[in-house]
Amino acid sequence: MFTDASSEPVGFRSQLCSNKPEKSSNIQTDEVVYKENETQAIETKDVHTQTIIEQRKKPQVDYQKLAAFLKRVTPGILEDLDEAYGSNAFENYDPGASGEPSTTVKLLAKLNTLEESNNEIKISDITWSSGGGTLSVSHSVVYHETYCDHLSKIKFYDLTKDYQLPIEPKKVLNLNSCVTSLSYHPTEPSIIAAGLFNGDIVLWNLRDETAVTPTQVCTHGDTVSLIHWRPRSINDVSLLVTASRDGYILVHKLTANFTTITQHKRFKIAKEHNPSESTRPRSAGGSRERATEAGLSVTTFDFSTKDPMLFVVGTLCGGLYKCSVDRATPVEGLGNENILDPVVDEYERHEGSVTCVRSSPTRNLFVTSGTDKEIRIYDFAESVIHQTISVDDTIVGLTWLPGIIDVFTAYGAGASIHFYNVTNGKPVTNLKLEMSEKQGTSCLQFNGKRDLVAIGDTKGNLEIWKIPRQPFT
Amino acid sequence: MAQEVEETMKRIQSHKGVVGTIVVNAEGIPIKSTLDNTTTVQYAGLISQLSDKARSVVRDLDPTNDLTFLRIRSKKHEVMVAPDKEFILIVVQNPVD
Repeated sequence: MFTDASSEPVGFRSQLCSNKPEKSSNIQTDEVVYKENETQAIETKDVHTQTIIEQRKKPQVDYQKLAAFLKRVTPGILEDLDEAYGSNAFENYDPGASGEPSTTVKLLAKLNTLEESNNEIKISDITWSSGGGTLSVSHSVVYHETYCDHLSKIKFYDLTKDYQLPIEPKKVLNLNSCVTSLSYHPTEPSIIAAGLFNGDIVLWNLRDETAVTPTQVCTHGDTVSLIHWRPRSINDVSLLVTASRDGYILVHKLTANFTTITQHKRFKIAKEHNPSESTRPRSAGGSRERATEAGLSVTTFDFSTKDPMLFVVGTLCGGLYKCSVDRATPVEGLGNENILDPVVDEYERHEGSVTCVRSSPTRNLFVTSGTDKEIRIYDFAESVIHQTISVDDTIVGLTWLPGIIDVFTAYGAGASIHFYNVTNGKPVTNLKLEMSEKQGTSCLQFNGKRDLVAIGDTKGNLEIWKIPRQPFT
Repeated sequence: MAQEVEETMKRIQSHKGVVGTIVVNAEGIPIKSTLDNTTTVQYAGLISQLSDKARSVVRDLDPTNDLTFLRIRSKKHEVMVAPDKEFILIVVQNPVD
């Protein structure tokens, strides 16, 4: 069925076609749009509680005793009920509690404290007496070329019942140098201390009406920048802390009814902390010689309210130093063991001179102002700035508002007083205060006892404003 | 005895201008009251604290002295408090009816 067959092989040559037809064409795809969506799963937890309805127990009463008690007190109560019902003792009695508290500031009194108009004299400091009834005003020449031989006056004004200022001061104290810092003792109403441009610290006891010669507390090597009373704490002794441009901060102990003064501690902010600060700028004023041996030019300081041993010092060149009373080390090379260097740390520096340092009464914060037109908020524990507020005018001083938590005021060049909240650094807008004379503000002092604020300006004008007790409700 | 207590309470309550009468025990818990529950609890708690404070003030000023009676004049009411070792009687009066 099957036979072998052989076939002739056939060959063929493959042929490559070298010319393939090609055609190019374009395609355009649509733009691809991606979208992202986030989802967040929320974790929830359920907690069950079961309250048991308990039968409230009736208090056990000894009726015998209760009856006896009622029998005893009832006649008296009935008598008093009759008396209260028929009494007209409280008729027309209005303690003023019915009216809504005012929420706006009001100018109460205005006065020029200078005898003759003098463009060169400013109010350098004001201070309220501890009871809040007397206002003391010191004066100073605006700009000192070299030394100070000006005659200046401290004037005392008694506030009248309707918060007016008498034209004539109650008392005038004459001094042979300009006053830079003035402070009433916080609890002793008759004690007032002043720091002078020539470096003297003087103290008066006003109890004796005729006494005009002050007690000399000490003499600094340069202009006194700030004096500060420490509240009585250590062994019930009054401490007066004074700082000067020569870099010294002295603590004085006042005993025996403010007649005996002893130097308690001597601090010096040594130059070694910052060599760049050793040069004294021209704007510092004062004589060159005095500046040579000195330390850093201290312009301001304030004690922490949380830690009474801690204080912050501001200097003319913008330095901010964290200082401690008890951790101070003796300054070497001065040959005096008693001079201590209190610096423990440095905070971020200001670009210009530090004009004011104030520590918060409630928080562990402090605020500073400088000639770099900045207000800064620092935490005591952190060396970097917490918050910076830029302002239009140079701020010369900061004060905390009494009774209102976390709000501080800033004043300086420019007539308006600024209010800021320390927690967020934002200005408080619903409180506006502006001096009517439109001059630069030189000092401001709150009177917490009477809700007043006294403001002094660079032309000798003094104004008293009523501030609302709760302006932010 | 409970009867006598009720009668005395009524006598005070019917007096001129009296708004309410409360008797509080030493723990500050109201035992008798002519006012509603919330007001009673509030008055009892606050007044007993105040009367304790007033008593300690009087005793601090003079240890041989003691508080016998406390009157609080407010814009709307006059509150009279008779404190004792075990009880406090509170009478709220509206003096200008």
